[in-house]
Amino acid sequence: MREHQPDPAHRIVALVLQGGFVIGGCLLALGVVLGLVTGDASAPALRLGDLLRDSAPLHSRVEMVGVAIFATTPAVGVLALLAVWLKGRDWRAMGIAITVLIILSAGMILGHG
Amino acid sequence: MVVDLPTLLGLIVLGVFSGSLGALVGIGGGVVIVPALTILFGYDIKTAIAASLVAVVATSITAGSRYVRHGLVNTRLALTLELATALGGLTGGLVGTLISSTILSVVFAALLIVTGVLLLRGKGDSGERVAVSGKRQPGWETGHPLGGAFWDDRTATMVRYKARRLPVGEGVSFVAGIASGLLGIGGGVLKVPAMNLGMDVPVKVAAATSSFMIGVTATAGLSVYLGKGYVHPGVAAPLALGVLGGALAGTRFATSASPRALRSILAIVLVAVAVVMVVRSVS
Repeated sequence: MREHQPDPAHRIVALVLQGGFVIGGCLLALGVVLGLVTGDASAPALRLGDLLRDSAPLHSRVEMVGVAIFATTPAVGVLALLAVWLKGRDWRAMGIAITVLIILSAGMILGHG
Repeated sequence: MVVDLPTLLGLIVLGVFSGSLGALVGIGGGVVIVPALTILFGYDIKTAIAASLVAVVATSITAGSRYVRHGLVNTRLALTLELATALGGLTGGLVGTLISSTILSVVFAALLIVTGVLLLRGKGDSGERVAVSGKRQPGWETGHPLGGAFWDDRTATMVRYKARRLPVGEGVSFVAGIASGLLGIGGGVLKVPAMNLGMDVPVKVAAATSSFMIGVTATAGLSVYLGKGYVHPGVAAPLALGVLGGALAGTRFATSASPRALRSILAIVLVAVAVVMVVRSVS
């Protein structure tokens, strides 16, 4: 059997997921360490909008950025697949990916409503 | 809410456990995390679900990045099934108030037990071994029909497979989506057996593909919890850090584990989840 090169879709999606988990993980770790160093054990609930609010503890805001990066990483992975399939003119796969993104967006909008 | 040092360490340990288990068998771990956070840590259900969703996404991107790089994930199969899961999730969210969650939990638990037994009694794993080579090769996938090949570390062979009976996978994924919308679970516990038993996809590919899918599913739910302000970063962060470590360890074991061992672990997890669901719904 001939040797195969990594699938471009696999390579790019792996890079996106790895980037998300390294950057998000580092921010979560930094937030936890900041909380330990400052001795601030508070863990309030935050919204994304609270990131700019000075009254929220710094360690919680850093952790929240990490959570937000985690939350967006899978969707960015699907977008990366979409780009690869667009380049490869795989219309059926593209259609499926777009439909998935539309349904997920609809769910998010309904959920927020 | 205060997260002191013992709680912080407890959250990390819980994350390591659920992350390793989730990465190993392709589930998110929400069925373990939510009861643990509410019963052992005393958090309210919304805080627990929000933290669990962060952990599920953490499991997915950690395990997914490794599995995708090795060519174990079939991305086309993942999104084809995700279509049904997302539709099911939307349906579950919309009709959630019309169906008794207690009845649904019991039916779902029975389904998990039957699936667990089928997994234990099932014949050997599917897939055709096509070459023996000492050198690892990246896996690949085919679009139409859905299939591909992956490198099996345990036997040092390339295994070629083809997904069959797509309607079975779509149907179960739709049900998994409804269960996700109604019960707040990722649905990996249904999708992995559906791919393996129903579609003849090797269990390693099924678990890896499910790992990738659960992150996409959980993102939708997590965005709602982020918008409504239910996420406590101080709870989610140590949990997710534990998950990252556990998922990395789980993926290392999964690539070299025997399919039989993975199916047995999955079967045990299914039965355990069924018991937890019945106990939760009754109590």
